[in-house]
Amino acid sequence: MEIWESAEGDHMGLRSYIAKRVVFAAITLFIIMTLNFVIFRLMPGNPIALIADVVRLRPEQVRRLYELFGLDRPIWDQYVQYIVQTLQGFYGYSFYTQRPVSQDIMERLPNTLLLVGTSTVLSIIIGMVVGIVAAAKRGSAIDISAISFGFLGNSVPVFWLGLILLLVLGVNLKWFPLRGTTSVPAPREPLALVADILWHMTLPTLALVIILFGGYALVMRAAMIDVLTEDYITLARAKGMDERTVLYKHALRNAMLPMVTVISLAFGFLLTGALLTETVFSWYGLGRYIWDAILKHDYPALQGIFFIISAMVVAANLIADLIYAVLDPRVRYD
Amino acid sequence: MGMAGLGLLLFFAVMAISAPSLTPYDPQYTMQLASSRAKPEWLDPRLPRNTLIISDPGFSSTRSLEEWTIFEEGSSAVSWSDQEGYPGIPLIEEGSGLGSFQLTSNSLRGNSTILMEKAFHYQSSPPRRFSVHMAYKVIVEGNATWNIQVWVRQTDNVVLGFWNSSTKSGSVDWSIPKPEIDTNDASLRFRLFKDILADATRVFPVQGNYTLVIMVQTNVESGTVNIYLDDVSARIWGEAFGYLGTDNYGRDIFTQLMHGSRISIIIGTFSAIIAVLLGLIVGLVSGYIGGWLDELLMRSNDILLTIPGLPFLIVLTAVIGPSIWSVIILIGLLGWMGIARLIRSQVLSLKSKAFVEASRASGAGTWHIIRKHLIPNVMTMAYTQLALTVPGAIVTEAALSFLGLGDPFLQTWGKMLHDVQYYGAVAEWWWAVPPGICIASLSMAFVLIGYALDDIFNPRLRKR
Repeated sequence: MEIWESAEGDHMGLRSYIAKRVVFAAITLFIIMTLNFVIFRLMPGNPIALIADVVRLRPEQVRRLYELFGLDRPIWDQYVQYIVQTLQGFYGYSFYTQRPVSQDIMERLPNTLLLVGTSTVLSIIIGMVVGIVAAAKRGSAIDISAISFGFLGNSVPVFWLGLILLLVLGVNLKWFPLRGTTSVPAPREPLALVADILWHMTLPTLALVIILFGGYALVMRAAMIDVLTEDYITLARAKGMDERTVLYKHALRNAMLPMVTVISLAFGFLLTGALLTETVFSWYGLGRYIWDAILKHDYPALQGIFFIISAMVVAANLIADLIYAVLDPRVRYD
Repeated sequence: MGMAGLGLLLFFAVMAISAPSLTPYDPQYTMQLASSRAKPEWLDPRLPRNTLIISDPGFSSTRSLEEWTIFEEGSSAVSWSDQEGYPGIPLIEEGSGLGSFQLTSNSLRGNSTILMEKAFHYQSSPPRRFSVHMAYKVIVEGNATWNIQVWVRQTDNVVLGFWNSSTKSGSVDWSIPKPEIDTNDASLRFRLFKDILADATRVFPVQGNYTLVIMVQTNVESGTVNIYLDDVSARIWGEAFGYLGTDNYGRDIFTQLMHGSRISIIIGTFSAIIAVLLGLIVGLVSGYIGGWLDELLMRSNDILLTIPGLPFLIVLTAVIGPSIWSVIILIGLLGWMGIARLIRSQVLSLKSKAFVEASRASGAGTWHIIRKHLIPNVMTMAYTQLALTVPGAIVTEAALSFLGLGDPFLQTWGKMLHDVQYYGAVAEWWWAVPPGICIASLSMAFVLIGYALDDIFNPRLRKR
């Protein structure tokens, strides 16, 4: 009976925890939309006055434009309309490409996600392995290089590292292509196409992984060292378990918790890093879109990208919170 | 570790302070020091350097005529004039004062031709850019026509006609050829080589003896023609310049690198100070006062932590307009969240300490406790956080500048990398590599100092 009750309580705890996190994510998203709305109305002048100035529109044409963009309505009305449209996935028309921003974004998003996903997975795996080895062999060459890479990740601009990789491996050694997502024209066969894309994404991925894995390694190392001083590890060793079992069966599981937090916190950093890296390699993704949007003063595009990126980060944090709850039952009673 | 950080920081501080005395140029506005994208001088000794062919372009004394070989034909006289001199274009260029080359053709009717030749030896690899500057003034009294031409005679005696004033009859006050005689001018290249993509490598294709020729022709019916020439300078633009070459506008990259340290240090420290101050205030208030204020501050903290920093900064600077101060303030405003959390947890643990409770029990006010007991005890943490916040600020500013959102009036390290990317100059490693090394080492200096401070203030961590 007691056991049953505690399981029930556990279930309730998880449910209310999830509800809390979802509500928090929704509020964050709402605030981001509001910021987005406010920021672009802080802009000096308004776009229609700008257009009207350049192409010399007649007053009735100007009025028609105001109606078309809903700028003649009260600001609250505009705000509600903006929120509704954003939730429906409409972010206005790009000044430059003259197409719906959402269409532009959807075209590029998969490429960005491919880059972000690959480098996240790779840098987490490498970071964890290096962190574990560094913790197990304190003061070794691997330990010292893990610490150095952890420090470097915060100091070296990822786009510069990209430029250097491009210079050495692309320009000088000619091992990798200098730009683009695929060759032009892209190969027809599916297998060749996949190989081509992999070949193109090697350098940007490499730049991101070099910058990112050190941070993960440092966290993993610190968490492992923390865990390795716990009594149950000493007990396990005293029982005569071999070091591998101690490390991987006992220590690793508990050291994983801080990693989940860091992975979710680092996601925003990684995403912006990916955007910067994309511009260097002309990767057909959101980063290149930002670069162009800034050069062309394409405000609707910037607004749309900011919303999409924020939404992705909010979603990633939510997912991490949920994973955390599953991994660590204590968190549900916070 | 801390000493290495201090040493690095000292290096950059010296760089920042001595930047103006290390290089005479302005990082942003001294343009056209050499050809655009010249290489560093130490890279290849055969690369052409900036070469001024005429040693005294201003004709400052009568001896200035000695460097020219002058051939006269017909009824004219050549002399040095101390009466006339090109005054220069007001506010843009300086004239050379009085003194000019004077050529007088008079009443004996008929043609006369004068060739002024300056022979020189060219011994570098072919240059991309060559330009001739010249000012002339013509006074016609009576009925006469005149014509001025500028040529280069190549090693194989092929003559390239760079400029022809065409035959004219009236007087002209000081003027310069328009468009200026410069191989950067596409119409000139087309006229010379029937190829607008050609450049000065076609003018000086091989090493050897070349001659700059100025030909003046007059045809006098009656009266006299006086032609004055001044500011005659010919320049082969260097393909190699300074320690790190030049950028697309012919600006010195070494100068930009030196001056970049000033901006990075200023932006890094100022925005870190703003972030730490905000973090300190929020952390103290939130931790000590607590209650709904704590809840509100920590929830907004959570939300701000969730918003991706750089994209938010991009949107804000794109709208507000980039300037160094808006960048500093925005980076500071978006950097306090982590610090506030740390300070808050420190304050929470201090709050329950005996000395704080004793002070409160003896009737001390909130402000007194914060000022006398809490602030002194969180300051070490604040200093550590200050050092650890600077690198993020430096790298963030670099990223903004790289994306083209830096202060348009400042050439920062990030802006240099923007230029490398924008002009596709990755292969020019002397341009692409140094700014990144500087950003990384300056950030690293602060990281090292920060961790050293942390080590000193929290000795229990040392065993790790």
